[in-house]
Amino acid sequence: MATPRARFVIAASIVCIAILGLVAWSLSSTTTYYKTPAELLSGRIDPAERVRVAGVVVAGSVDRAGTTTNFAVTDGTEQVMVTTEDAIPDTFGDGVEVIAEGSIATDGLFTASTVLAKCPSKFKAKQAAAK
Amino acid sequence: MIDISAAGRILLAGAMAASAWTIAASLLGASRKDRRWTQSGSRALHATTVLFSAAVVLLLTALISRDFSIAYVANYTSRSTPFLYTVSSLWAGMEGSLLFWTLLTGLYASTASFVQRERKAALVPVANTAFGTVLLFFSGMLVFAANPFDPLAPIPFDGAGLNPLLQSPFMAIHPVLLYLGMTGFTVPFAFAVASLVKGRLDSGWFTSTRRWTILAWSFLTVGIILGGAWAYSELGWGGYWAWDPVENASLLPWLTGTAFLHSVLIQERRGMLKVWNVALILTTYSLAIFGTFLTRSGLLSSVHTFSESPVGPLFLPFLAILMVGAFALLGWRYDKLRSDRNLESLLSREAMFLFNNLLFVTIAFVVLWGTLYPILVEATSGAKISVGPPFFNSVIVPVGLALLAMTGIGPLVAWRKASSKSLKRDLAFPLAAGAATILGVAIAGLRSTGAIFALGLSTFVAAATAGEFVRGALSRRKGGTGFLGGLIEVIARNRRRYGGYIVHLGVVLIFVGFSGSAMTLSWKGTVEPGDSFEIGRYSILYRDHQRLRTEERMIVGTTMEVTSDGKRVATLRPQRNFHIAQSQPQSEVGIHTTLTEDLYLVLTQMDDSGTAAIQAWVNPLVAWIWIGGIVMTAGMVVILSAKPAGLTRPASAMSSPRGKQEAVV
Repeated sequence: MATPRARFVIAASIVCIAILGLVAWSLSSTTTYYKTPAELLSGRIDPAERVRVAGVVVAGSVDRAGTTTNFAVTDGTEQVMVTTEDAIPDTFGDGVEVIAEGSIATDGLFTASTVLAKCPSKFKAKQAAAK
Repeated sequence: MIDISAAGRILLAGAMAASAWTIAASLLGASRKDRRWTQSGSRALHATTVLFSAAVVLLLTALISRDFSIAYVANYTSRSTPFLYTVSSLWAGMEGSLLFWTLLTGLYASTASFVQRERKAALVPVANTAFGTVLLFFSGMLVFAANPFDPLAPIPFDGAGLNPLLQSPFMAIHPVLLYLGMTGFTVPFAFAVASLVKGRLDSGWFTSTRRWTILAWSFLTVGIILGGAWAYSELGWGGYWAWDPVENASLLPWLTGTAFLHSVLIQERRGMLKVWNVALILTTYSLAIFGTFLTRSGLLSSVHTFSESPVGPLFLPFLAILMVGAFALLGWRYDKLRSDRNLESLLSREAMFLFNNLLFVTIAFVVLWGTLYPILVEATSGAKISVGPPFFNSVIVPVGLALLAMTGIGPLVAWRKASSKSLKRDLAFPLAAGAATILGVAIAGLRSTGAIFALGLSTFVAAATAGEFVRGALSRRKGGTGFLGGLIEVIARNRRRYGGYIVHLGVVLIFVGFSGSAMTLSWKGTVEPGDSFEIGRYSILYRDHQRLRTEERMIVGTTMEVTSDGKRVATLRPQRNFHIAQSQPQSEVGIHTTLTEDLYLVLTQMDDSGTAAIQAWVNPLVAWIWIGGIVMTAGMVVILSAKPAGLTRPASAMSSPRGKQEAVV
């Protein structure tokens, strides 16, 4: 009969392996790769494919009508127009980094089902006065 | 007229010099066993704290007097910022928050060092060295990389003002509590390092700093819950926790700190897990520093640039030195940290605590991994990925539920070796209650398997914990005091134990609140004045709209009449403010809270004719999260009201002969 200590080590190992397995499985099924606007506009993305685009909201591009929000995101070189019906948090706005998930049409309009805005880091001073 | 910028710089430089002196004098005092050097080190530590206090007072003065010649003041306040938020802007920006953080560390360090100067005279000089090292790093950073007293030229007429999203009472106190929590771990950290250096590895180092640890942990817990309350009431997205990296940064030290609070009980009682306990507190403090780094480095708010802020690159070497140094000490003293005893059975309190620790530490690992994985992937392969709530929820929810189950079972299992007979007896009623709840809510029409299970488990744990109170009260009843009298007496006499159980009950309530998230309803659409829409059991009539423009903001608002089954329930006024200076929109959410569910209305957009885009949620059971937080706080107060171990019953003196000498010294 194994000692209690050995039995604990075995039980703990089983728990750890189970959780590691869960982590690996969950990472592979839930992480999403995302593209920059430049990659998105390279024309190699299938309109049927669900992709994520990450970038910064172009200042002055936000246009809201009803529940629809239109805006442009940029990676500094290219910019993509995004349209969404999703709930957008208050942290969203000019110059905020966003990740939009959806698909891109052949005309270059990105229709997003979800838009995530980065949490307001209070350590980034609002640059409004400097602008 | 004094030059605030120059005065501030002098105070910070003075603090830097004083903390360097703390290190040097304390080291000399410790190595030469010379009381004069030791005392000089202690005085330098207190001087450091006084200098930081003066710096904070100076910065506050500049903020309140709106001295826009200081860049920090111009960046975070404006002439129209209300007084409360002028004060809170002290910790709203990076430089100020670092200064404030450093002051809190200094206050903890000075107070703990002063309180322990007689009882732990041997440890204090080494602990002071550790305190001095941390303070030296932060003061150096304040002087060279993030000086809150940097001048601004030309002096603007008005400042930028505080981000309106941070102008909330929650945001005024939430960061303070988080900092009080994170910095508080400096005390057990420094004393752990000191006991490693001195080779005094009985339980003395943590029993004498236990109240500090519990205090720090309590602040951190309440701080995290208030952060959730802020996100829920201010950000207008219907939720309270998004597994955002900034949130995760505060959760990490909480997880390992919670593991620590449990595992020291085994060392105290059974002389086991000595290495583990030291490692846990070193890890907890490292994670607190790591969290401070993460939120300030720019590493997370932008994955594309490694570090846009000058403090980022300074933090990593400091963290590395801290961890390598502390763990090298641990390796050096490994032989002295042998367990006095071995585990006797898997069915014992010790084994339960071990599993508890295993789960807490695994959750911390998963959170850390999920937070850093995108950065690692981008650094190694260049691919950009995001790890979001689905990952965290699918891993942490099951492990969290397992931990919740252990909260119920653990306290019922006896030390050394539990008899399965008494365990079965004690578990019978809680298991029946849990099963009855599962059946009851399923019959009542609840369809979410996860929520049904979580509610059943919560009932089980609540019943098991209540059983402890009942058995305790009954055991005290012989004096004819009655059940209630017995209950009060047993709690008053065992405050740490029963306070802990009260905290557990609070945790159960919070899990009840979490389970509601599986049953959320949401609705969105565009409505005209006079229209109504339905969500859940509510019918909502859009009665009226308002539009108002002040100097600082544009406000659009709506009046919503909420009825349910033909009865009027509430009038909600979700509004949307647009802060002109900061071009920052801000929702004022309309929330109708009941114990069973919240109705949560957000106005996202309104045009001139009053056509409004509305988002609505029904969030079941959310109120229980806040109630659970209050219950947890009550439990913490009970624990902290216990007399310090070292004063009444010197636990260290009883556990080892060396402790006895120490108590005499």
